[in-house]
Amino acid sequence: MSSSVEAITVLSSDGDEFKITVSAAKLSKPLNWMLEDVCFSDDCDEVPTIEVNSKTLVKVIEYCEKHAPRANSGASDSDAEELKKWDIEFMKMDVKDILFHILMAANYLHMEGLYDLACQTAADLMKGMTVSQIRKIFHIKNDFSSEEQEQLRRQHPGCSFD
Amino acid sequence: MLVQGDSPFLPDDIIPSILKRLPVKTLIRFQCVSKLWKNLVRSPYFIADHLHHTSNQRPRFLFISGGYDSLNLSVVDYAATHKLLYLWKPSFMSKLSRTRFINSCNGLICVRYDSDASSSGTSLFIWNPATREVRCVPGGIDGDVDGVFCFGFGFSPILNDYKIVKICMSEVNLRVEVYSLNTDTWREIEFGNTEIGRISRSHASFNGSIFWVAEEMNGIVSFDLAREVFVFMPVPGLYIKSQYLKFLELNKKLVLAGFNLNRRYEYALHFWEMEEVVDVSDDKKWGWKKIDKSRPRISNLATEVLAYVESLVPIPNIKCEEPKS
Repeated sequence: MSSSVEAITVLSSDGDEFKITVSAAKLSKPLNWMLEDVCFSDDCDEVPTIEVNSKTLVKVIEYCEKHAPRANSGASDSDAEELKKWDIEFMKMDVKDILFHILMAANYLHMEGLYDLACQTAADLMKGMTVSQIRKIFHIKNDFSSEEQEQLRRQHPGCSFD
Repeated sequence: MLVQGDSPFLPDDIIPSILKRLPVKTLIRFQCVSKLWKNLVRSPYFIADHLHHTSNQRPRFLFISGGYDSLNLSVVDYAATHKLLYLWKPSFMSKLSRTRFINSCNGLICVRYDSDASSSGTSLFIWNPATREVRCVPGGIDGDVDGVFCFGFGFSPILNDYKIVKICMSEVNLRVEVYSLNTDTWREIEFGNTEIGRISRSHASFNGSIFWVAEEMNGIVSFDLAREVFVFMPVPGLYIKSQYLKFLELNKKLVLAGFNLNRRYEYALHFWEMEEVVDVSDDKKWGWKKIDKSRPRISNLATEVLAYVESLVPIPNIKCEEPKS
């Protein structure tokens, strides 16, 4: 492996090119494998494709670059605290509209930290939603018969199907 | 707000990872989303996963307060600037003076409740405040037996069962009975020859065993819920200057908490963590490491403090005749 490689280029599923530093790519097992493949291969011109759309990949790379220094070297408590604050802002400001894409990307890229963060953000948003709002965002049809709805209502008074 | 029109279809295996982070109240509401979601929320695997995730969050204490004619169970809501949240309790259970808290384990609370002044009206109850299920435990107390009752309530992961241990100490002997929530029956068991002296009312359920402080013997008595055997373990230096000692399970560890009431009637809590893994068959030496010293402003009326975790754990074979309040 050439030690001079500091960043690699990857393609998004939309075909756009992105640069990601080697240390940031280490946060993801599949990215790490790609990295090794690229570095060991004679044909270094080949650009690997990541099955994540451009809009999402920008955010995933931003997360990786921010977390890479701590993941690779360990960090003090104050850094951890700072990172936690950054995570909250990251989820608050930018990703809500693509949260499910981020979730799927974190799952596909085996990124535990981002996956947990995205799951928690989704859960926090869902707390305030009605049942029909949940069905809409998860593309779920109400498949209860009216008898089953009645039965559930008896078990949990005040339980709403809307 | 999540964009509703073009959100992608999430794979089915991601959904439990999100749902396990929701409070029980929200999950009960979301059972109405679809049959798949209802079955997921009620599946033993999900319930265990949800409990595991919730247990790893910040520890929660259940504060019990009240008086002759009132009873309140509250937990601190860390999400909302330490506001107190009140927990659901069966409607008949309205007097602290008639209630004795035995223990809380995996979101289930076990109490002894006197429905009237005579001991014949005393019953044991188990309930889950989050799912609002309640069950009366039959034949818990024999009114005609003289002696001091000491109870334990805990969970055995091996048996996947909750048990109540009743120790009746009298001048002449020591009788032990064990109740299983799954079989709904009491059984008398042999205590053995272990000398334990007086044991604490406070106890902890941990790793499939129940632990009591044996104050006079300077040690700990444990009861393995699966094998149903008692073991006494001396713990040098157990005596800690506190008004009372209490076992709690916090973050998968057995913790001994000492409570002191200060001059302003606030509790000071001191925590000691057991340094070695608990293994009743092993003769390891136990040490205690001080892990935290905090002085939360707890209402001076709180007469009991238990560790509590909100859960979906169901109570099997619910049948309950509510006593008159």
